[in-house]
Amino acid sequence: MRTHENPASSRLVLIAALSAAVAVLVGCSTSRKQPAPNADANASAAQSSAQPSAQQPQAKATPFVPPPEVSSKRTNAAILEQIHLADMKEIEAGKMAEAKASSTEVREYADQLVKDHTSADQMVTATAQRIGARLRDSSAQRHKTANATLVEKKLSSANGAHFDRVFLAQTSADHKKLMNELKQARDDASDDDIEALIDKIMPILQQHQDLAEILMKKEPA
Amino acid sequence: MDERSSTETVDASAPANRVSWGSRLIAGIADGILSAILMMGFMMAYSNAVGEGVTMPLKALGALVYGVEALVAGSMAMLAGAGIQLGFSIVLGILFALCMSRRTSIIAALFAGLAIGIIIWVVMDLVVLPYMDPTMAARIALMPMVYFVAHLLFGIGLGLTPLFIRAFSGRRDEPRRMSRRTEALPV
Repeated sequence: MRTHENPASSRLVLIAALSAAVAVLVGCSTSRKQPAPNADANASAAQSSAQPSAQQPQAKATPFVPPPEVSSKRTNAAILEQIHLADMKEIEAGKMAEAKASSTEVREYADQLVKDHTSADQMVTATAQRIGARLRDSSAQRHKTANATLVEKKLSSANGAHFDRVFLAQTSADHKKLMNELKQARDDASDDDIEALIDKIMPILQQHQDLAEILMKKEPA
Repeated sequence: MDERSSTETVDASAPANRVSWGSRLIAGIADGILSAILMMGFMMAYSNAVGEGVTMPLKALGALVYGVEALVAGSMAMLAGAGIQLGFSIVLGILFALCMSRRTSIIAALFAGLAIGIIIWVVMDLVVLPYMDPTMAARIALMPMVYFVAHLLFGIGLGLTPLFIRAFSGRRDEPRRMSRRTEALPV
């Protein structure tokens, strides 16, 4: 009689199950270096308990002190607004570069910039909805500074290789500034979602800045 | 005499379950290609759906060779990414096929394939991406679950190796098995 029992198969299953168990254990044991939610909760609880005593002397001078939740929400909303504005600005500049850049690599870079910042803005919008913050519509237009207008004019008037150089220099500077601001914002943020969002966005911004610098070196003087 | 000859027929079936190296090689290559398509296809579809572009996973993998410049290097970076994925999958497919026989059950092979997929995911996530391809690591951080599921799909692809072995050895080794059976038959 032929038996259907296959020792090789059962050995294979055993090895597979053991390997999977080891892999999952290793995967689970490695922390992503994210602060534990409990630790955060404790920290914020300690902060909120410490705040009333610190604010008591100020209460005499100012008639109204917003509750800590409101002010932290305002800070979180401001951070999201800041990222949203930066995204809008980069998308706008990227679209212009897609149309005007003379080098294929700069056009590819502009395309990547538009895709990444669009994706980042979707994450910002989702986070804003989750924490109940409201991002203003067409805020990019309202918050346009004199410097931003100047840059836009500079980009609009430039053409060919000159445009590429101006665009890359501007993008590199913008990303450097934004990363510095986000580092500060990450410390100020009181929401785990916003911290996680900044942690996800920062490496992408770093890639954009690195690419801008690499492409600038390639550009003819 | 009759009993002896029937025993001989059963014994002859055991070596018939052995698969030639050539069949295993072809099955491994075919399975590697299938696994690569399953994994990369899933990631490319997701990447396209979220607006990052269908080629982003290939570019990110190509960053192993080109660094961050892969994002703007165009078709060369994509080819490098596709080559890395296919090459790695084919090698694993062949190694996997070498450990299989015609009688290996699909369930056992699927378990083994999933385990290998999870091991590769752990190694990639903890060692390869952070130290060798930070460009891809940053992209994967935006879709960690998708990357994990893609590795499970890769494992499922590997788990189908016995089917390929049966299919290929069925054609290639048939004349040899037939001749063995004929030899074993009572005259």
